[in-house]
Amino acid sequence: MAPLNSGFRSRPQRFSSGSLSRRRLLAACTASVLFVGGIAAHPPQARADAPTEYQIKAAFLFNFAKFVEWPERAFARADSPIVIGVLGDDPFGADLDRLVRGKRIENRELVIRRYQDVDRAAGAHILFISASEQRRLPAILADLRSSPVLTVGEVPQFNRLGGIIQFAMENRKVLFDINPGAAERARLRLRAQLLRLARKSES
Amino acid sequence: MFRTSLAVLLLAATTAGANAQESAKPPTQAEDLGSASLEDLLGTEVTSVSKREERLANAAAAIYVITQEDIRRSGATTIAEALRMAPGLNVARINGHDWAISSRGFNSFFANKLLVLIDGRSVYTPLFSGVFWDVQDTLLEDIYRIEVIRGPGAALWGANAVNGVINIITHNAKATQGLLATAATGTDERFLGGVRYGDTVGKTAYRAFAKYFDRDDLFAPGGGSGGDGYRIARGGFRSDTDLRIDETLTVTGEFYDGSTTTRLGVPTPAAPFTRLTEDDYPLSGGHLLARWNRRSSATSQSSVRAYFDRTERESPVHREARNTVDVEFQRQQVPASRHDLVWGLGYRFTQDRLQNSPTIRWVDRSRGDHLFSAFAQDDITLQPERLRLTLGTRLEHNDYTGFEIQPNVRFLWTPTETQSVWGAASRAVRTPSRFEHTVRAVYSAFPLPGPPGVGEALVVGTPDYGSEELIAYELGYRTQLTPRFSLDLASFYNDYDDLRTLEPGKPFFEPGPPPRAVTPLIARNRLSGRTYGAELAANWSVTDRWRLSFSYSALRVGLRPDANSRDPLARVPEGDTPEHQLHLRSYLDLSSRLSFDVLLYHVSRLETGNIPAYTRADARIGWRPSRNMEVSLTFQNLFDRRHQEFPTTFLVTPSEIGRSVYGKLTWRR
Repeated sequence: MAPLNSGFRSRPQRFSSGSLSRRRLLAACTASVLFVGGIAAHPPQARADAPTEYQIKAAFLFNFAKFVEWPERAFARADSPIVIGVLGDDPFGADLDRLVRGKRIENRELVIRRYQDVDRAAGAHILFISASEQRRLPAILADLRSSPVLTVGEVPQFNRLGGIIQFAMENRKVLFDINPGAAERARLRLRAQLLRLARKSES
Repeated sequence: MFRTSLAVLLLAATTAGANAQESAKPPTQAEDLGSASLEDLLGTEVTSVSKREERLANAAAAIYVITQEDIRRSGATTIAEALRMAPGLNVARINGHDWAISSRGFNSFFANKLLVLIDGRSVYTPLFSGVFWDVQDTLLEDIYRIEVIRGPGAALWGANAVNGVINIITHNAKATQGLLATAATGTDERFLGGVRYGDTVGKTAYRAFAKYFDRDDLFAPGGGSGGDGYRIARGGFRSDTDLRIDETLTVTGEFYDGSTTTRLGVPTPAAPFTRLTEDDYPLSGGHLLARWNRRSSATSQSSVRAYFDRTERESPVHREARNTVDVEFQRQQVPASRHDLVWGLGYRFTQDRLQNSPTIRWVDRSRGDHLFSAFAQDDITLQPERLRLTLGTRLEHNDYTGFEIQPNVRFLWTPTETQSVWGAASRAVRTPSRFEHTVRAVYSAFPLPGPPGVGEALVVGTPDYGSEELIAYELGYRTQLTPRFSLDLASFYNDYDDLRTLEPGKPFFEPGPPPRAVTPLIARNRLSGRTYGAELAANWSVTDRWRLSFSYSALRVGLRPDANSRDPLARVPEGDTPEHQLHLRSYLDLSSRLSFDVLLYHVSRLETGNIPAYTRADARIGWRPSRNMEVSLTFQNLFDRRHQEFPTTFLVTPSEIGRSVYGKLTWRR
C-alpha cells in the first residue's frame, strides 16, 4: 500500500477535522475497492467457456435468415448474398463475421455490413439496430417500414414502434418476440416454426 | 454513512460469488454456435450480459450523446457550438473565436475541469488545463457522435476529467466513402467550405478532406466591430484497415493553419495603464494518430493507441509551441463469469517552448513533463439483467504532484426493462497546470498616489501549488415511459477541496524601467466548495416525423475560502455559471425532402460581470431536391438583436453576438 498512500499529498495548511476524516474515508474507500476487487476476481467457479449474450444473438441473426422469405426484388440476382447489417454501435465484434464465414443459405452467401447511417442500411436483408440508435428509433423504423428488411432490435418496445423482431433477456437466456404485422408490411414471409418459437407473437 | 454503504457493497459482491456456484445446464460451446438450431439457442445460458457499447444507453453515469444528425440539423458550424445541445454543459461564446465551456460549474475561458478527447487524443492544454476551442475542429460531417459525460470520469480517463469528459468520435472511413462537397456563406460565416473523398483500396478504407472557413467579426459591447474574426484551413485523412477478421488498424492525421484577429487590453506600466491592441495572430498544428485494435469477441479486445500532436499559437502577450507524444494500451476481458474487466497503461510526454512577453513571463521557457498512468475497472453483474456494480481506479504519476489515485464505485439497478437507477461515488483530481507552477503574469497596472507612482498586480505561480480535489456523489434515473417518450434525470453533489485562490503577497519594488511597486498574487489551494444540481433530459417522438428534445439543468455553487485566505476574489467562480438552463429542440420532417428544425436555449443570468439572462433561438430549413444534394438555410439568434454571453476574463475580451443567417449547399455521391 505504501506507493498508493504517497499519492495523497501532504497538505500543510489544512488541519481541519473535516479534511482529515475525509482522507481516512478515502483510504478506507480505496482499501475496500481493492478488497472487493480481490474477492470478485476469484469467484468460486468460473464458466468463461459458455457463450456470451452477443454470441448467442449473432447466432440468432444467422438463424433468422433460414426462416424468412424475401420478395424477389430484394435481391439483384438469384445468387446475390444475404446481407446482415448492423446499424449503430456494433456489439458483436468479430463473432458475427466468424459465424457466417463460408456459410450459405439456399445458394446465397452471407455477408456482414456495418452502417452508421439509416440511408445506406435499407440495402440490408436483416438489420440489427443497435441500442445506440434508441433516440432516433421511431424515425429509423418509419424509414424502413416498406423496405423488405427484417429489422431486429433489443431496446424495450422495439416491436411496438414497428420493429419485426425484438430480443429479450430472461433468466440469462436470450428470447425473441415477433411482430407479424410489421413483417407483412415489409413483404416478408416468416415461416411458422419461427413464429412458434417466439415468446410473444403479436402485431 | 459512506462506510456503511461500502459494507453493503462488500456483502453484495460476496453474495454474487456465491450465486456463481449454482450449477447450470452444460452450455452450448461458443465455437459450434454456427450449427446450433433456434431451439438450442433459446435454451442456452449466457456468461455475461454486459458489454461496452450497451453502456452508452444504459450507463451508470450522466451521459448524453450528440449524434451526426443532431449536429447537422442544429446548423452548428463549430464543435463548441454543437456542444450547446448537451444538457448540463454551459457553452458561452465569449467572442468570435473564444468559448467558455464547462460542465457543472466553474466556467471560464480558462475552465480547467473538463477533459476533451478527439478519437482518444486529449486536446486540453497542460498550459492552463483548459481547451483552446478555436482550433478544435474537423470536417463536422465526419463526426459520428459526441459523447458528453457530466461528472467525474477520472477513473477511466485520468486527471482533469473532474467535472466532465467530452469524447468526439469520428466516422469509420468505411462510412464516408464517395465524394462530399459543402459550401456555405452568410452574415457571420463569410465562407465555409469542405471537400472529402473516400475510397477503398484492398482491405483499407480511407478518406481525405480539406476545409476552410473565414468567420466575420462579432460586435463590440459598445458598438462597432468586435475585431475577433478568424480563419483556418485544415486538411486531414483517416484510414481503417481490416488486418484480419478481428484486427483493425486506424490511422488519422490532420494539419491546420490559420489566424485569429485578437483585440486585447494589455496592462502597461504607464498611463492609461491599458494599451489596446488589435492584430492577426497565427495558429497552426497537427497530429498523427494510429490505433491498433484486436477484438476477438464481444467481451474481449485489446488496443494500442499512439499519437503525436503539435500545436503552435500566438497572441499579443504569449507564444507557445508544444509537442506531445502519447501511448496507451487497453485490454478488455472477461476474467470470470459475471465480470467484465477493462484495464490499461499509458504514458504521455509533453514538451513546450514558450516566449516571454512584458505581460506574461515564465520561470522556465521550456519544460518537458512525463505522465504515467494505469487503470482498471471491473464491471460485476451481481444479478443478471438487474444489478451491476462497477469498481474502478486510476493511478497516475505526474511531474507536478507525484502520484494521484482516482477511484470510483458505481451501480446500475434495472428493476424493470424500461427503468434504471444508477449511482456513483468518485474521487477526481485536477493536477496543476504549467501556469500555476511557473507563470509571472501581469494581471493589472494602476496609478499609485506616492512613489514609484505605478502599481502592478502580478500573478505568481509556485511549485507548492497542489492538485485540486473533488469527491462527487451522483444519483440518476432513466425511464422509457412509452415507446416514444424517454426521461433521463441526473443529480449530483460535489465536494471540492484545495481549489485555486490568488493570495496577495508582500509587495516588492521592481526597479524597472519603469520602477513600480509589485503586489504578487500567489497561486494557492485555499478554497473549498460544494456544488449541487440536477439535469433533466426528455426525448419525445411525437410522431414518426416529429421529435422533441427537452432539457433543464439547475446548478448551485457555494465556495468557502480557508481561514488563512486573503483573496478578495476567491468566490467569484460562484457566479461564473448560470443557475438555470433550458433547452428545447424540435426536429420536424415536413416531407421526405423537407425538414424544419428549431432550437431554443434559455440561459439564466451570470452574477459575475452581471451578464443578463438570454434566450437564443436558431432555426434551420433543409431541403433535399435529390438524393445527392441538400440545401439548407440556418438562422441563428433570431430573438434578440445582440447579447453578451460571458464577462471579461483575464486577457480575453468579450463581444456581443448578433443575429446571423447562412445558407449551405451539400453535395454527395
